[in-house]
Amino acid sequence: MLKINNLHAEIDGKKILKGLTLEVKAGEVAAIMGPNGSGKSTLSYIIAGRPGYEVTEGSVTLNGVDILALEANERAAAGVFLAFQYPLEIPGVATMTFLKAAMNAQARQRGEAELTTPDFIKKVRSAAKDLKIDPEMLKRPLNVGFSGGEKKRMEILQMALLAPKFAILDETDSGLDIDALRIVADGVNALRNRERGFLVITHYQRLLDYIRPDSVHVMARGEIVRSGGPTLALELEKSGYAGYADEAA
Amino acid sequence: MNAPLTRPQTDAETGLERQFKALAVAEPWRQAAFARFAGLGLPNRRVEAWHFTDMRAAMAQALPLAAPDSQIAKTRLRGLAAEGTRLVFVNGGFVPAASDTLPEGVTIRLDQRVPEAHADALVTLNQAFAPQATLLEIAPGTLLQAPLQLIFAHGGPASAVFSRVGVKVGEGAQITLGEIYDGLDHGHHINSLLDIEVGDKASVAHGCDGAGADALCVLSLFVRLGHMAKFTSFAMLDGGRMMRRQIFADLAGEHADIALSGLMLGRGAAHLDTTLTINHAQPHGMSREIFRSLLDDAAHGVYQGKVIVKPHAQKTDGKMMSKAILLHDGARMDNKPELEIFADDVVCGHGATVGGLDAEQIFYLQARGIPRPEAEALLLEAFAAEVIEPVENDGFKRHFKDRLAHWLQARGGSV
Repeated sequence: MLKINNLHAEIDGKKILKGLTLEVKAGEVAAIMGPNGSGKSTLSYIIAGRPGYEVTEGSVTLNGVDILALEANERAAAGVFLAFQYPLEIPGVATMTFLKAAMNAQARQRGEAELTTPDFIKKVRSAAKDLKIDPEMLKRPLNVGFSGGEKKRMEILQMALLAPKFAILDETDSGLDIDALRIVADGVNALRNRERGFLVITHYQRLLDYIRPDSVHVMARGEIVRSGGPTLALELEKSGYAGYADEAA
Repeated sequence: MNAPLTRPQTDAETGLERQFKALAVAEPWRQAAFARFAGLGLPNRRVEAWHFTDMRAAMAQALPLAAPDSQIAKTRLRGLAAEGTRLVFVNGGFVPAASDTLPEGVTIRLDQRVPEAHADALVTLNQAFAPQATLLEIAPGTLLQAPLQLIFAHGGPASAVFSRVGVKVGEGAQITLGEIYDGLDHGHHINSLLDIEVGDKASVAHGCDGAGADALCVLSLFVRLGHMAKFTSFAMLDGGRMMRRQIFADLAGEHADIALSGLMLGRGAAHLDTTLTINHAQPHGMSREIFRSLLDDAAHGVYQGKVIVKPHAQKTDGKMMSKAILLHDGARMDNKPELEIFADDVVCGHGATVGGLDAEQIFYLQARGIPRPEAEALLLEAFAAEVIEPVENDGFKRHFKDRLAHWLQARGGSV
């Protein structure tokens, strides 16, 4: 599925990723944990194709496709999805308009037929209901005036509708109270299957109580410094990142 | 006419003088208007109101005066909406045969009244050259559902067109008024003047479409509002060469309410200018000016807004905002909002912004699979929606949305 090999990247000449290697298999939920500033968000942005980062060495492939050679929208059409830590507000663009534009754009790029409007509305309504999103919210401009929890639920709604092959969740738990966290986690868990891979980036172990990972990786100073099973997250919860602080500083 | 010039005449000024003499006009007020023009000359950067739009440099020469064109009048011209009453002007002159029958409560006649002296050189030029005004009168209490549409059609070789239309809206009447310029692709010089008087408790919803791939246009709009009168206006300017829209609004009655908005779409080497003066002369007036500009390539946009609140005009509520998005390094916007407040109990504010598209927003849309040109079009459409959505007449709104979509499509993006 997703293979990251010896990835080096910098922004404005500052090296952020320093030889990161990681593989996530189809059906696997991999968690990346690490102290602030370790490069976790940078990794997610580089996979999604945010401009401004320069990859100086290494590769990222999804099912053998060189992701780094694609534009951000082409990566999305190829099946990459990033749930943003800070979803953007888009004034003037109704949420429904945006959802339809995104779904149709992906279908077009994959050479698939666009959804009919009734099918589209049916799909959105059903997915919104699962995530306890008020249909009135879908008429409002995208994310404008949404609470932190609403924005995160909207990210998961988009993920459910776009049905990516591989999803990255960047600090999806930040700013969520326990009820919102449960709704978001249920939404993610409902999308888990044998074909779909997940990369769950989080600072805290709490999220992993709700989204049980298959593997846990510790990131520090721009690389993976330790990998293990789900118990590694519990261990980090107890000991903190102190053991990695020197490396992270 | 022989006012001393402190600077050498340009070829265009010499040409205008020759043309005016050749007309041998009898009306003293037209002679007086030309004398005022001769004293002012074509405005250049040293004239404050024209600082960003150098008409003296732009008008290289005076074009021959337009002749009536019978061919255009035969084609069916569309206004801003399919419904309503079309009043067709060809090369500046009203053509009754090409126009629709007037609805009840509306009359039209040629008006010989003397226009007031004005300090703007292009207005004086209009007063001197336009033979007369076409005056539309709306009887008091008339409620028109379908819009009145002024269609200014142009044709033939490049020529100078002067038109002047007056609209007098009687007390309590309500109308929707369209103003559309057609066929400005042949290098015409357009000098149009629209003078609207909104009577007490009357209301006018106005829409203007100024599109011209290759014309030098000055569209002047005069508005006078009576007691509790209301005037709303949206204008789309999309010119390939030079287009200036100047508005002179006078809130002459208490509780008058004016809302002016517009969208300027510039590409290539287009120069688009919206300049307005709002004069709050009476208490409890309300004014809103909301303008948006999208400027691509080497286009240059200008917004100048001056809101004057006279000492007597207490409780005035005024807000002005101009926002521009530059889509290319070569594009430029000059914003100059001004308040001149002489009353002490008022709420007035203004703002102006110039920027590019938000890179983070574009990335967010792209990360959902939307290709960049389409993502840009979505954001630009949203930016423009703030001024297009409030357009009251559905037909007008559709027209403006279609025009914007067409403009965005030509950029390579569509939604």
